[in-house]
Amino acid sequence: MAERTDDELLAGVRAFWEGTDPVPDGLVARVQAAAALAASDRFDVGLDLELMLLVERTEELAGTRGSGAAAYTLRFARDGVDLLLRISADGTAARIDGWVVPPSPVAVTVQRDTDTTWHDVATIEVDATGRFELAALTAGMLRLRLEPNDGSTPFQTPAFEI
Amino acid sequence: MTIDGRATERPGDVWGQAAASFERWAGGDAVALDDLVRVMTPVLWHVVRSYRLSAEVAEDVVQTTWLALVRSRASVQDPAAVGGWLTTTARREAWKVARASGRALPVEDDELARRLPDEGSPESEVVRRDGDERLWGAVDRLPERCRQLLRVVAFEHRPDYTRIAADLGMPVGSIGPTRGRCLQKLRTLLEDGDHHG
Repeated sequence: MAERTDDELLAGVRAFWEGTDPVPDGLVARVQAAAALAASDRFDVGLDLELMLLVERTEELAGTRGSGAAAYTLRFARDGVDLLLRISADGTAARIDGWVVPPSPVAVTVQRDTDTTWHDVATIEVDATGRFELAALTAGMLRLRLEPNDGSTPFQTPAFEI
Repeated sequence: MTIDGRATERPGDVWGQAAASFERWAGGDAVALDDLVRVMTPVLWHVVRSYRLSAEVAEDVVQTTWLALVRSRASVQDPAAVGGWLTTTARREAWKVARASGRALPVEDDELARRLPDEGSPESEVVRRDGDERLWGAVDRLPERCRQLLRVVAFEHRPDYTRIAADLGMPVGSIGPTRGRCLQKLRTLLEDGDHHG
């Protein structure tokens, strides 16, 4: 048969990967939602939120893979504020231990993704230690909103899954 | 097979669609951002997954990349550059996360365990849209190193060899020739398949 061009071969490579490692179902929709939200936060001055970015993610328990990890750590950052979260599962429920760096008094609001909108689950007042904890959380997509007590611009994390 | 999947399209076409969507979005059409995400997310997925990140971590990296674009939209002056901006950002982020979690890419061929995805749909359910099973099988028989390099370049439009070389721990001058050798190897495997298959 005729020898194939590089382009044909590379198209085959794309088809191979598309077949063996396809884009996860719903990823596009999730990203569309997150991006639209970020864009509205960004350009709608009424909301005036600073979006934090995920800068690091580490899993504990070597040897486990993906969602099988019993605990993992997320680090979000924005404008000199770091938010460290350790998410761990204890049986049926998950807990989040959080730490705001540098420590400052903030109100942390947990929001859960329902099919239509984000709704507030709980708000915790964090004292000057910067530490807080949230227990007995059911699995799902969450995001956190941090409102500094000094009235400066609130921060919000992208959605993450527990 | 997801309806979003466009990965078999030529990168040049995907980049062109991305540029058009980005231009509409920058012009104030909020819906165009959805189009841009739909067009480029499959590409970013494959770019990020070639860094051997778990599906979950790869998703986070893809999302971070998009949020970075939203945040720094103004820094993309030329709509035609948005595809490259996104893949470069995704690559940098994937590299950072891979290194932070101790998953930096191994350099030596023999350290590379063959690794098919452990998540995602089983091959039996895959609709091979191009119907080219022999080519598929040949890709499957490529040495790991070749499959990885070709995955990286196949989804890129005008790949940035300097970056890819740094990320894969290869000399920059060797990427082009290696790509050529890997494609030649693929042709050889195809011919073998034709004789024996």
